Amino acid sequence: MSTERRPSIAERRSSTTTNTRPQFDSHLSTTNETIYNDGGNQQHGQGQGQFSTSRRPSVVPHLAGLEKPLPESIPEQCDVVIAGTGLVESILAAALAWQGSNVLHIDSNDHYGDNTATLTIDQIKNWVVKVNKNEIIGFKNALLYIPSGNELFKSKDFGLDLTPKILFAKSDLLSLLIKSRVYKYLEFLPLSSFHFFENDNFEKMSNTKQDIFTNQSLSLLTKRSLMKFIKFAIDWENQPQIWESYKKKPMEIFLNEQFKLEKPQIWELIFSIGLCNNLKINTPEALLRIKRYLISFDVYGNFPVMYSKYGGAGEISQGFCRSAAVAGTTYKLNTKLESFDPKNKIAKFSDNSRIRVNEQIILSPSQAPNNAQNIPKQEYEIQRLTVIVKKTCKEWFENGESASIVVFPSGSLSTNNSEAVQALIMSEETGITAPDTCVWYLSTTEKGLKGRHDLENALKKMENSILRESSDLNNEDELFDNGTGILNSVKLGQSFKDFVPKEKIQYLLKLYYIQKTSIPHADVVKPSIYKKNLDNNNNTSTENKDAPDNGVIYSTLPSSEISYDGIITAAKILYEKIVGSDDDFFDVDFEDDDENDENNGINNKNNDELAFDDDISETVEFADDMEL
Amino acid sequence: MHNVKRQHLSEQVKKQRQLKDANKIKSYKALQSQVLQLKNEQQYNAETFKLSTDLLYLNPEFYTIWNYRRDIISNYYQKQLSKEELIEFFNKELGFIMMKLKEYPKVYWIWNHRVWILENHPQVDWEFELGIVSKLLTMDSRNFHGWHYRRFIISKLETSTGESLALREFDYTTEKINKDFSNFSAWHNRTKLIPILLNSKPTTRFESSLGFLKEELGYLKNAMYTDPQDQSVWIYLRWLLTSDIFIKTLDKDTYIGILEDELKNVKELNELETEDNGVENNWCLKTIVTIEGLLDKTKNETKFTDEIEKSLIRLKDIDPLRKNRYTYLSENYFK
Amino acid sequence: MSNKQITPVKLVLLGEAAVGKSSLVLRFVSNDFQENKEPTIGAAFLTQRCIIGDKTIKFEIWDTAGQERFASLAPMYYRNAQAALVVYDITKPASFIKARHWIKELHEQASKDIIIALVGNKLDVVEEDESNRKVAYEEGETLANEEGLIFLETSAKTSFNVKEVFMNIGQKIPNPENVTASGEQGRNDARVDLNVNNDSVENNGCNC
Repeated sequence: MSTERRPSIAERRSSTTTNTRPQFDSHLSTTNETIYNDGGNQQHGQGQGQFSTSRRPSVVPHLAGLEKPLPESIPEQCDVVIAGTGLVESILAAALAWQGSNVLHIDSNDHYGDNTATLTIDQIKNWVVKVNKNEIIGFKNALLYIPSGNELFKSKDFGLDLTPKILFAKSDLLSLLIKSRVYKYLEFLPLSSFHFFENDNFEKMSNTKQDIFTNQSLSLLTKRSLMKFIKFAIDWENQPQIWESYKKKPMEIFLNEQFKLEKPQIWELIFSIGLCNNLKINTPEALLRIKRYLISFDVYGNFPVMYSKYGGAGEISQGFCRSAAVAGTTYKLNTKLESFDPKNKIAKFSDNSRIRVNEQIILSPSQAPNNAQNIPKQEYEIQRLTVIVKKTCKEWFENGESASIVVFPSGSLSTNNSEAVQALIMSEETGITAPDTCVWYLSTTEKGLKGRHDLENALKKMENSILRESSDLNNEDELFDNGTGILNSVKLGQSFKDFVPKEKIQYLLKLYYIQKTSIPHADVVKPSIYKKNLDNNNNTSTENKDAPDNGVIYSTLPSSEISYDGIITAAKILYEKIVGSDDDFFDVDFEDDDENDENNGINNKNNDELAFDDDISETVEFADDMEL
Repeated sequence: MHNVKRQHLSEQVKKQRQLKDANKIKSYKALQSQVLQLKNEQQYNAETFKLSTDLLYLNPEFYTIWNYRRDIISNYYQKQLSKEELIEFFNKELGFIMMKLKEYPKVYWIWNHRVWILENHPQVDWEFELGIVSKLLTMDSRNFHGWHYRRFIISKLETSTGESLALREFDYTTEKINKDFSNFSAWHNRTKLIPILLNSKPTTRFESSLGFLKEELGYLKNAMYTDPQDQSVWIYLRWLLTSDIFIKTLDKDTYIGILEDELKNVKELNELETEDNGVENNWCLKTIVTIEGLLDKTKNETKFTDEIEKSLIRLKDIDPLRKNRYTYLSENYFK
Repeated sequence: MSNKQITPVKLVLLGEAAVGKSSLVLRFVSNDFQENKEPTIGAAFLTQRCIIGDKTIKFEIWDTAGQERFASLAPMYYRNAQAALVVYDITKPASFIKARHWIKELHEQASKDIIIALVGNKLDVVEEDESNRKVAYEEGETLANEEGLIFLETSAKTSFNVKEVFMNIGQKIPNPENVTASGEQGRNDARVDLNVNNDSVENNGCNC
């Protein structure tokens, strides 16, 4: 084996950018070594593409590897080892692979997704056992309840996310999904129902101009203030004069003082639209969160949010892993890192194989070797309660949709919660649960026993609500035959304080656990936090003598955030750490697919802006002498 | 194992695309001069028709070619084809236009061509056409061409059935306005339908023009408060306050009462706006001037002269783009 | 152009390494199988359209991308696959054993009504010298009959029977149901179409 030093990724990067030094000599000699065993490489010729201009610069998928037998053992060396197939790590693997790095991507589990996995019931059972044996860093105190009598259901009918998430239509992850073409592996469904719970009622929000204009219950002044705020929020960064003095003050105060909004609207904005955890959130952070909702409307349709079918982060990470594999990454599940020697850069694995790591080894804390010494502290907690109910819950969905969000703001529960409880409701059409059942994902950032009580109380409220709404009118007749006269009010948004459910909700599964993270709850959408985290966590790494995880870079565990915000940032920061810059993060120009010549129906979204100009020609006629 | 460098392709790709584009432009130019030549020679046949299709594929905004295409149709196909053949030919042409409209819903010439084809088509399915334009307006509710075309289809439908569709169309505008009231075209369509409805009185809502006007002003007030910057709302308000359909049917005192109410209303909103933004809302102010002018004119007074003059001076400040317009107005107003 | 509905069909490739899975597919997508239709090479998968009878099928061909190497194929690979190509090499008995394994795997992982084609490749090698044949035609045929699979022996090299494999699969694909008057397929109505290129739509996408 050649001992000649390969140029580092950063060096190769700069050489390809400036395109001056024939740095590729050494690079190519490495390629030809037998350990790479990839004859197909030459066939596609992009390795030398730097110097040949005649070749069509197309991106050719990994078909070449199939032409020749792949060795049954892992390569002798690689540029980067990534342990853990969570979403951040999977995006990183794909980005590095398309940049040209050799990546070995492993996971100690027998499935993809790691700490962001989508699991079947059987996998959940195993996972709970492992969590309670403290074998999984990042989760603790798991409780699982599966009543008997549901043998008709198959484990594989379900796919529960450990970290359920929703995708804003205008977000960095969505752009990357499109750019990387990973979206082609996935299906996305719309979500527009955001309910929030107040005074024992589920309220539907008014958050679009249409809602505000047509909502009879809002006063004219409220309509005006709300619209004014919404217009401001879309461009808030450019109007510091309005919010600067509230930089360190809670959003609640800002909305009240600057926009004269009152409690119902303030809470709706903070908890439902902003999906904030509590009222302490500072003005700029809350504005950031509200804006992402507002700008996501009407990007793909009349909804701000989507989710991937068959599972969230677990499904998307599989997509990025496939993309990484197409670009040449080697995948090996059931493989755990045993140790890493930072001196000779050799990583050893649980199956006794080893590999020389030319650049870096990235490790998810959940994949840390036994006796690891440098695992970053995970000081923040998210409590989760996931249940599967025998109910379709269609009363909670907008027409044609299959999921919704319910938020319980601070103080709305009988437990007088100070942190919000967020619930994501997903029906069978989302592909994660059996027919006529529904998954409710509840979570809170409240700590300790109180958090658990909050979750249970919120569950109770949801239970009552769905029982009430799904019971038919004839039954209601009997129930309310006491002169209360709310016969026709079996609608969402009506109080169900007095409602006595006559049926009980049936659970197929109840799962409670605590998730840990190093990412502070409120800051999640701010990129800087990830960088800070990485720096804090990794400068101690060489101090513990003989630790099996010296010299590795730890990635961050998933945050409490219900959206995918922060994921790309976290992946980019790791990428930058390895490559030297994130300039060429997924800088790949894929050939356009043939979708263009398919008729996608009338599509004139791109022309929207012109509408106004055109209309003006008519205004002349219509406005006539009215124009001053 | 796959040390295939795939990044930094953008430069190469760009060059190739430029080359491709250059070739495209060249062949387009050749085609263009060929077709124009044939047009001058008044060549009307299947061959030239095909060439016009090719050219319009590349450039649907080339109205000369649409004109030429119609010349070919009337001088060749309409003379050559039997009625059945002609129906088939026109249907095919409608398909071609639809394809272009999907791509370019804002090109006037395509809409224009569609109208011409329908006028000449021996057998049109107007309901189908209405379905098409409804779908288009669902995708883009503010497309002026779409609304224009809709009115054309509606008038054809009304002629063929002898029944008025005004009420249905009025409800349609309400639906569109509820979805997004920043829609000149929808409000405009309303101004065309209201006089018809107030004359024919299809429902109690249109029994009295006063009742209707009050209801409409309440509806509009919602919109004004929701978005005081939206000009389509203000322009519609002015139409309501100045349209003959109301002025001529209301007695003078009632009309003055309406104007005074609106003046108060807009002034209140303007005060709120000033309080919040530190500056008056120019649409409010312009409307105030208009209403005050209307009041003076109706009452034959000059009560508001001073105030209007002051307002116009302030408008010059807050709306400097139209400074000269305001100057002109104040000079002429007081002549 | 016809108004016909294009039926997308996800097809997954399975088989031991070096049996010629990719050669078969490349032969299929690049052959003058369908005039003036260049194969689309994207990052996601290969696509090839073909007209079979009165329907147009767009094959979306997923290769394993090497993820089968350490038995690391993701559930996503099998999800909603409507067709699978299980390929073995008729000169290599071990590859036939592996093919059985993949068929079993498909029964476990993929949807019940997946259409599976069993393909014995490298017929050209056998035609050169009959003694190269290590898997009898009957063996493949018997397996296919037992499992209800399409069966063909092919040569990716000479392209013998290659298009027939895909034609046979295409014929078995049911006609798209629920075609509404507007030509839209009922089944996927709820799906968000990310193919509509919204990259150019700037932040003005809000409702205000």
